[in-house]
Amino acid sequence: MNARREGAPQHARASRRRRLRYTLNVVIYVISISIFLIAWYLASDFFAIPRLFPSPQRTFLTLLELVEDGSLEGDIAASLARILAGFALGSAIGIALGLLMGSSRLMRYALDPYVNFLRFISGIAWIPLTTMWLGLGESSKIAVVAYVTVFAVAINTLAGFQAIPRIRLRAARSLGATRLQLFFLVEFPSCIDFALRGMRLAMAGAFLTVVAAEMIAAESGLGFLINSSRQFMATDAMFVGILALGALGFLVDKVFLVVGTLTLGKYRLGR
Amino acid sequence: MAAERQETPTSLKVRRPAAGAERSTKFGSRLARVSPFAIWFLSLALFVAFWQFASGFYPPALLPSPMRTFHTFVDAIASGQLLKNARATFGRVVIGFIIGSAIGVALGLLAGCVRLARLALDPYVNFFRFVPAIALLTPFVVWFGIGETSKILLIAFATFFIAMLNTIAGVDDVPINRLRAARMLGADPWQVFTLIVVPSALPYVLTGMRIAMGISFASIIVAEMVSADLGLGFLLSYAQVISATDLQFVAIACLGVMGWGTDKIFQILTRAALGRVSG
Repeated sequence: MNARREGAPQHARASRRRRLRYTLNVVIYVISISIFLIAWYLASDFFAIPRLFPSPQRTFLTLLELVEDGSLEGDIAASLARILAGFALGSAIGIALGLLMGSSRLMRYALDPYVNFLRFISGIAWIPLTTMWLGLGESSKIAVVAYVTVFAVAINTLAGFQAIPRIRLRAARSLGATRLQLFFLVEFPSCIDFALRGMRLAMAGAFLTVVAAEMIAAESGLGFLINSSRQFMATDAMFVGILALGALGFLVDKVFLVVGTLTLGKYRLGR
Repeated sequence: MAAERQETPTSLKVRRPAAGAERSTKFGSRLARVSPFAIWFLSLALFVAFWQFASGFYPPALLPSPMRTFHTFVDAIASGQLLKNARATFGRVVIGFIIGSAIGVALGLLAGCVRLARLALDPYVNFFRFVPAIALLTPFVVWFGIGETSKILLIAFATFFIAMLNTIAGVDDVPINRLRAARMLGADPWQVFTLIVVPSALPYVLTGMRIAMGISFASIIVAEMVSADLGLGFLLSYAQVISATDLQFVAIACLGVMGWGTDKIFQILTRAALGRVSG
């Protein structure tokens, strides 16, 4: 009774407190970032050679320069295209593999040794071999990115299969679902959430692999930008590449999350 | 029970019978129930047979036969080449990993317990978690030279972030009732921290370290391929130069065994830690 009467003002107070906390968070964010920038500036000032450790302004100017002559956009586009192509291919294979291993015990045992061994071998180790087999072009990079994606997605899809509540399967079966209906109406939808989570994890692996592949054997891309800057000791260009990678990763993750939630949200993506 | 659930996403082994098992009477399923080893063995035999068959169509520089690869493996062991390089890689990973996880766990506990530290670290954490550690290899090489320092720092950096992120998540997920119970029974903040927060976060910390170990192995190979004269990554790029594909296979397999072995160790540790906390 008491609580109900005080409900409204309490709510107002709570929301005010929440707003206050939010502003406080923003303030601390801003302070923290400015401390970092100041420290960066001071550090670059004390380092004798600005070539080795460029100041924030210099990095920003290089960023503008690279954007203006279009090379940064080109590198971002090249990396992104490789990531998306490999990621899409790898996810498709991974989901298929996960579903196959989930629905058939024979396939699970038959594929288990490969999946459980190959997933510990990073895609990077295959780069020399794939460049030899598939050439120096795009296909070798896409293949390596796809390889990395497959395992994370397959293992998560399989985990989704194993997490299906037995009651749900039994209910469907007792209501007369055929094997195909069981798969398409119960098992597959139940795995979607896990598969999407696996894909989100795999995205980080895809970024790592594509950067490595571009460092080792490529003529374009952010990894190439970072690694080739070494020859000219252009640390500012490296910083630009690293910043671009961080921003790109952040954006791709957010886009994936939003699109995934909008299209497949009823299967509970998020968190 | 909790241990079982925690393990499912990363481990393929299923102790409970699979969902569809009870109704299936096909030969494969029956065989699977009798002995998974039979299937593993059959599957491996098929793979080797296929490999042997396929290698007949290509020159050994493109696809060496299983026998040839095995001979190269024996040679690489006998000459000490493989062990020498594997030891170099492993040493770098272990040192960098220890440094990185020590700092990462310490900062993660700090950020998890102190709100100010958490908020101050937040922008960096949210930015750097999307930067693959490998991207920092080039600046590290420029700053610290092509020696061991830059490689160890790279591993430490890669480990640091994942360990920290997982530690923060672990501190966040300490059951509130556990904290309340401890406080109500008169524990001071230090006791709450050492007796409740740290043990409760331990499984998360170990999981983070386990993921970090995988990424460390991936990062060190690139570092060794780009600039090193020892290590499995170096062996890979060296084998590429002399177009010894069989040696590349051996190096890749060696990496797989090392990754798998360290992962198993962490899996066992995680299970032990979970058992202690939930039991």
